[in-house]
Amino acid sequence: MTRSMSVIRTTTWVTALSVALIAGGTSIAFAQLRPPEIRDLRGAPFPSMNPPPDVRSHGEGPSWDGKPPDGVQPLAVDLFNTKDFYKDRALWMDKRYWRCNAPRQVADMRSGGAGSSTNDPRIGSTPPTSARWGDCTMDWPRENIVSPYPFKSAKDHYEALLADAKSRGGPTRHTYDTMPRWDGVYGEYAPNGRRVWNYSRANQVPTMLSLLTPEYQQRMVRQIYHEGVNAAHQWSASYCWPEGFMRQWATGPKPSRIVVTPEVVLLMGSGSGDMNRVVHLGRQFPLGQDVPQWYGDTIGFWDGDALITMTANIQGWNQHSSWEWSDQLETVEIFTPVRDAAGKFIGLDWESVLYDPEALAQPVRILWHRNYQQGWGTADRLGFVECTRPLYPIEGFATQVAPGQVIEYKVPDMLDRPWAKIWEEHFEKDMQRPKEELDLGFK
Amino acid sequence: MATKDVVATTRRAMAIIVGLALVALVAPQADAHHSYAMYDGTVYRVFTGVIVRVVPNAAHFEMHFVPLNEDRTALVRDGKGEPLVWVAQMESAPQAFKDGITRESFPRGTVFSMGIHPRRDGKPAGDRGESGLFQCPMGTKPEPGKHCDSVTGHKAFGAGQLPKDTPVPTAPRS
Repeated sequence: MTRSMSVIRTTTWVTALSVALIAGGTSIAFAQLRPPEIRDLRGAPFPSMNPPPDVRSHGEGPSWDGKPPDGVQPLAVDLFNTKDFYKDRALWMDKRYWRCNAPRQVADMRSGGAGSSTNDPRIGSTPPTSARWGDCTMDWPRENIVSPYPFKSAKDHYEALLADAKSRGGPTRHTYDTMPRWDGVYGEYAPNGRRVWNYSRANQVPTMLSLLTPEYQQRMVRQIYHEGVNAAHQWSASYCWPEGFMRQWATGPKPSRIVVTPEVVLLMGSGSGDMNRVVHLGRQFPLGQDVPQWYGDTIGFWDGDALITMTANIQGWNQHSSWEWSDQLETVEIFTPVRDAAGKFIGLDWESVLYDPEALAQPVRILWHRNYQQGWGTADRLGFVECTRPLYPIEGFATQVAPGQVIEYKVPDMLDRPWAKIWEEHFEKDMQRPKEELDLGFK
Repeated sequence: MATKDVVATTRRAMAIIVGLALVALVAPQADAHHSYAMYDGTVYRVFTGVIVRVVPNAAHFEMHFVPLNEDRTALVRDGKGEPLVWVAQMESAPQAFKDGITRESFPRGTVFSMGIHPRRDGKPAGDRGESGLFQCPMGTKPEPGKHCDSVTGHKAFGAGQLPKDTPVPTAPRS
């Protein structure tokens, strides 16, 4: 009898604890990535789950080398058997051209690791034609990526947000006593390993390409081709090149630290490089001389406890396994604090709307969450990376070079897409690449 | 007597040292980020060329350009027929901006003239030194053998004139 009561008590406790944990978990999960919506301005809900799952490999192991999924008719010419991807433009928007792999899956086939979501090299035993297929049924809908807001420029969007704040008596002028206490260390919220779409793991390639203008489609195709087919990854950190603005939403240096003052908000991080962004509160552009900045110039204001910013003057650059952006890239970003059921601050929802009329066919949006981990007072130091170059391009491949070794090195033009020049010189001699003449107005 | 000489000499030496130290302290900062030893400061080469791009975020402001030929009708090209790009190191970026040299004022295709101290090894790069910088009005170019300072409506950026081309020494006959 006593034993039975004990079992009942234990069972009751376990059940209650489970319910509490589930309820708590649900509460937290519900709190994140659902910033308050102000219609047509910010916080628009996503049509489907955000962040999205990665595209899976269709099959693992040598028996899947080059083998399409049942019911899928492969193309006669695709990325892995073409002689000239430039000629295949008509096929680029067919996911079978990519064997249904996401961009990063293609890059990972040859990046030295086993490859995304698998425990064996997905390029197969006879590269590149043996490249394996991804799951053709997986793709994150394009509607989740394109901006749900009606604006054509970041400036218009920012001014509308400012006008909205003014209509409610804002913008808020915080003092040291009233300002949000966001100072501290943040991590990436990745429920079940899901990450934002800019990691290039959640979409079929054609969906990503559909976001881009024709010239930038070609640039992305070129990059995926040389990464997946030639294993000629020109990743910025390999050469101590700057990582660039968009890499903070992928595997580049993340905004992992925040400092808030009444005049500025600092977003900082360190990893494969350093990122330092300064939100200048209450300011107007320009913030300084007209020199493009790797992380742009940022102005902002408080709308209650939400921080609303605009970033311009960004250096155009490249993110590997994904899309290039131009000097015209500008963003509107909204940071909204998230609290658990008990009112405890657990992090920031960070909504970014990207405007780049040169590279993007239409504005796009990223919503991710940075989960608060701890204060500066208990965290490890924030490192600062002075990159010491690990690799050099040898015959077009990023290659480790030992001290004392003498190599031939062609100095890149850093502001003329140096990655593309390497591919052109070493891997495209027999291709019919659209001519890119240096047009200076003289013969 | 010998002691007096030693004391006097020591005082003079100390005065010189203190004087030099004071000069060093009050002299303007050169604001250099590297040695200029690579450039031949005794030589000026004067170019009229076409802007490929300006690079405002280098340690020193840079201009990348392709020289025009003497007729001012065509780009100078390398052995492979590609436009031969020269890099001119300028003053600091803040000084360049102060002189009105920006991405907007020097877009691709701008024709301009400037003298540079070339690299000693003959490679296509140099330092502006004290040379003036003149821009041809958009859509114009100088007459053959002349520079933008000869074109009506030209614009100067910063102080200085175009230097004279340093004569190339004639190789001695053997």
